[in-house]
Amino acid sequence: MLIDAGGVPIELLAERAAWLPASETLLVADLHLGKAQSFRRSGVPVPAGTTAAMFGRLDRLIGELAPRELIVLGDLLHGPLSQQGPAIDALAQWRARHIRLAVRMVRGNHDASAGDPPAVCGIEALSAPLLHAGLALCHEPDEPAACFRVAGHVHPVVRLRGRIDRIRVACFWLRPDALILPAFGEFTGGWPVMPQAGEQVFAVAGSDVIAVPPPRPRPRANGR
Amino acid sequence: MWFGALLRTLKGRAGPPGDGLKVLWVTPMRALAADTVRALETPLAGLGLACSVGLRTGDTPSAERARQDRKPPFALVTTPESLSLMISRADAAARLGGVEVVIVDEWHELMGAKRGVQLQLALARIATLAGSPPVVWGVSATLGNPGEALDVLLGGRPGVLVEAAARRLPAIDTLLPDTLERFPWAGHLGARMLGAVVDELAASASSLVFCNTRAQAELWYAMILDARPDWAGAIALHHGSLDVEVRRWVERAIGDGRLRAVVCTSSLDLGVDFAPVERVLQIGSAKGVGRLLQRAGRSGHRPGAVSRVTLVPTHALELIEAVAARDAARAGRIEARLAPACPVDVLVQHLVTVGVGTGFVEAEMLAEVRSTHAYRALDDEAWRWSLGFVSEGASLSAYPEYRKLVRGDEGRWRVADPNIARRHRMSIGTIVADAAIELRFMNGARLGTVEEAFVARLRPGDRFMFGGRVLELVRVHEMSAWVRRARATSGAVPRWSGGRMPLSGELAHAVLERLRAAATGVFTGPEMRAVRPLLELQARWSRLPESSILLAETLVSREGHHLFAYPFAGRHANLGLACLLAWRASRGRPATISVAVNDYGFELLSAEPLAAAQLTSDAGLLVSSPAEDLGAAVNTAELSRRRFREIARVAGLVFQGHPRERRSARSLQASATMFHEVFDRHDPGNLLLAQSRQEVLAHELELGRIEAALAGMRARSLVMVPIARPTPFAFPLMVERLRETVSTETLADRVARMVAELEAAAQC
Repeated sequence: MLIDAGGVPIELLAERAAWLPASETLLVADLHLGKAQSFRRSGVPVPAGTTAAMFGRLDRLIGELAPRELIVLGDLLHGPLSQQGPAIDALAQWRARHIRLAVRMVRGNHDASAGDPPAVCGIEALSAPLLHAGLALCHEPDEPAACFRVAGHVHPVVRLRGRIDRIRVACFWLRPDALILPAFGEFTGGWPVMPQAGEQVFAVAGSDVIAVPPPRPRPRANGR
Repeated sequence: MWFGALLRTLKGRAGPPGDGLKVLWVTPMRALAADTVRALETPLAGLGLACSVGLRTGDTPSAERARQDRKPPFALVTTPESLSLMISRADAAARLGGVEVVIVDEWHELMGAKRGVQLQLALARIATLAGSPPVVWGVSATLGNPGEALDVLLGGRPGVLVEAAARRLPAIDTLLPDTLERFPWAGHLGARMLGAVVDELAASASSLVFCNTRAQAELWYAMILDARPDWAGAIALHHGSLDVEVRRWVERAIGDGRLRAVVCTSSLDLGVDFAPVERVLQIGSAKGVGRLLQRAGRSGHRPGAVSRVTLVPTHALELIEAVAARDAARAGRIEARLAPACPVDVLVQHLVTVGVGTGFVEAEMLAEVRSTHAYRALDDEAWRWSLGFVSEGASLSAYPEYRKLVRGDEGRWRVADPNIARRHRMSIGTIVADAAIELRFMNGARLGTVEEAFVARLRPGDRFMFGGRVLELVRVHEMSAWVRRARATSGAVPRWSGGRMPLSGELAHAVLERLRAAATGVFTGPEMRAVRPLLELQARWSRLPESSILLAETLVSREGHHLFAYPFAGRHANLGLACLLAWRASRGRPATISVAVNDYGFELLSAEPLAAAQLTSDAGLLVSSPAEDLGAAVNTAELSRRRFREIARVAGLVFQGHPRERRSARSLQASATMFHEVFDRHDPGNLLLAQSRQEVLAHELELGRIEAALAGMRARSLVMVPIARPTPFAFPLMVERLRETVSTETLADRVARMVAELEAAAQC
């Protein structure tokens, strides 16, 4: 779905990524590499496979779109433990498969404790905001910036309610000043967004991205 | 019993018993523990015995615990959770190895739940540590299967069943509404009965008013006080979310006869008897005969007095339930408690508990676990999987770097990482609650707890009712909600989640008997005479659901196409039937169907009229062998995902901890939903997933009853009645807010449909 983000056209992809057609740039946020692994090391059994599945999705996107550049909007790594072990190996192997692709990242709050990925990964880590194609790319949506922001950090999900059922799915959250991407990683969870006036959410539903109509005014929590 | 324990442990000893813990007294409620200690200490003083009684629960201060560690008491009153915590200590053998007698109080409360399984495992552990099984005494209220209760507690070892001599049946009566015309057809509050209830309270010196939910108790307390402001100070409120000091005060005040009435929930089901209580009122259906008798028994403890419970129906059909409850009580049809079989989540928790403590050798531990009733049929494969799941070994190629239990010298499995051990100790137990927020006044005084989800919807300045007061939220900070008193007289009422009690099979059966009689024109007793006009209205608008026909009503409304059917299989089996039919009806044509059930029947609601059309035309919907189809239906419904929440918590996946300690664990927080998703996709053979499906089938849907119900439905002639407006039996289903969804639509189709509906709604 193509939207207008502060004057810049952006394609919202059902793979939970965004595409800038003008600069042929692919944007993803919140990969949280090594999260499952850090759970396992702390004695919480999370099965392996989340990292491989995520890189599989990324590979397919790169194959389809042939981007000039990939930019990660923060939280590439989950924590300090991610610096060694299978997650970082998987990242290095993935990088080796796409050696010609330029990859940059803005640092997120998790990256601050995890540290930048090792040089072998060939990912340039920058502090937010990164000005790119008329947009301010950052991790946190409220990062001070002069132009329209594209960010991650909040892992937005939306709760939809029909006449007979309800559902909760990942979403893109478009505010007047920022576009917030859903988390690209698996096993990342979500934070329910309640769009205010002037905002819009786009639900990620299977292979589609669907615009959700703005909500009607809600009664206060006390009313029923 | 206490004397029996004393005699046994003191026998053959000249002086006082040697050092160390000899007697364990296990009680299901922390609240009972302190009273129990007092009750046990009294005769000791009288006999001049130098035996000490200690108390150890989650509320016991650490200084007291340390004192007990230095000098163990002769007897210790504790809960299943605190007992497991003692097992998780490295010196568990020294602490528990001398235990000779275990007394399990209120065993009926524990045996049907996972807490009972936890206790079975703990008893097996004590037997191992002590070298031989202790003498176990179980104490239980009346229940339908005392023999099985004995077997479960003793793990099949021989025992003796002692039953009290004939009890006097309590008096059971019903408060009838003045006119049925203005009496609601559905709902749970029962405000219409307020005047009658207040009159009854005025007529007795002291009463307990039982409500089925905490929210209902809050509202009833406020309503009574509103009707009789002069009773301020003479009535009180008691439920599980109130601060423990408040509850203690209320309990003492009832015992001293200082209160006219206490509005309470199951929080007062158990415990030391309050002599002054004359009457018990039950708002709404008690849903079970055993529970009703237990609550009735909280009254009439003065010499010569009789226990008396008065049922207060909250809607018209509860009149039938009230008379049915009396029928079943008179006939002695009391519910059986079914003990869980082989719950994997409790087993993996216990293995880590022992691993944190003394550690274990595999073969010995397997024998110990199999000595319990719950795991007597545990197969080798499930055992290997469970041990693998909490250790480095077995099938866990799918879990690199994961290690919880590690095998050390002599093949002993232990938890090596102190952080894992600490986190495990904080999350021992099988009681699953939603995240709680502590409520505090601005001066710091504690009021109790509400669920995080409720507070999350409030904004500063919003008002809500709690503990009989109207409060105003000031701010939320670090897991506490700071509040002040509001001047207003009303506010939102917190909703605490919690399983809704299904009507027991015994009670459902008694209801059917009464309806069968009504269908032949027999209306015996004041309740049936009161409800007669309603049943006649049902017959006029549709048909009276009775045993010779299968009544199905169809209705088209703004919401969609409704189909109501009344198999009278009880809430659980009705849900199973509804999910099964919804799944079969939507198999050929993708659809999403919303399901509501009650104890009488179910409703299928769909955007298209497929459910109704197919039930009439396609007899295949009612064919038997439901197990396979039901399994598929459960997968498409949200049921097993919801059940998985509890399993994830018990198995140690989701870290709950204590409200005041939760922040430290943030980095390891993941929701049960996330675990369900990640297992489903990357480890579909996980036994915890299988357990959630099995628990849904066995406990929530009652597979056994579904087959019989389907056969019964096929045997009856189907009568389809299109109705113009909801009938007395359809209405409660239509307004039911807890609903299940069965969907065979793709995610994209569902979202697209909801979005189309939202757009249509926005244009109105």
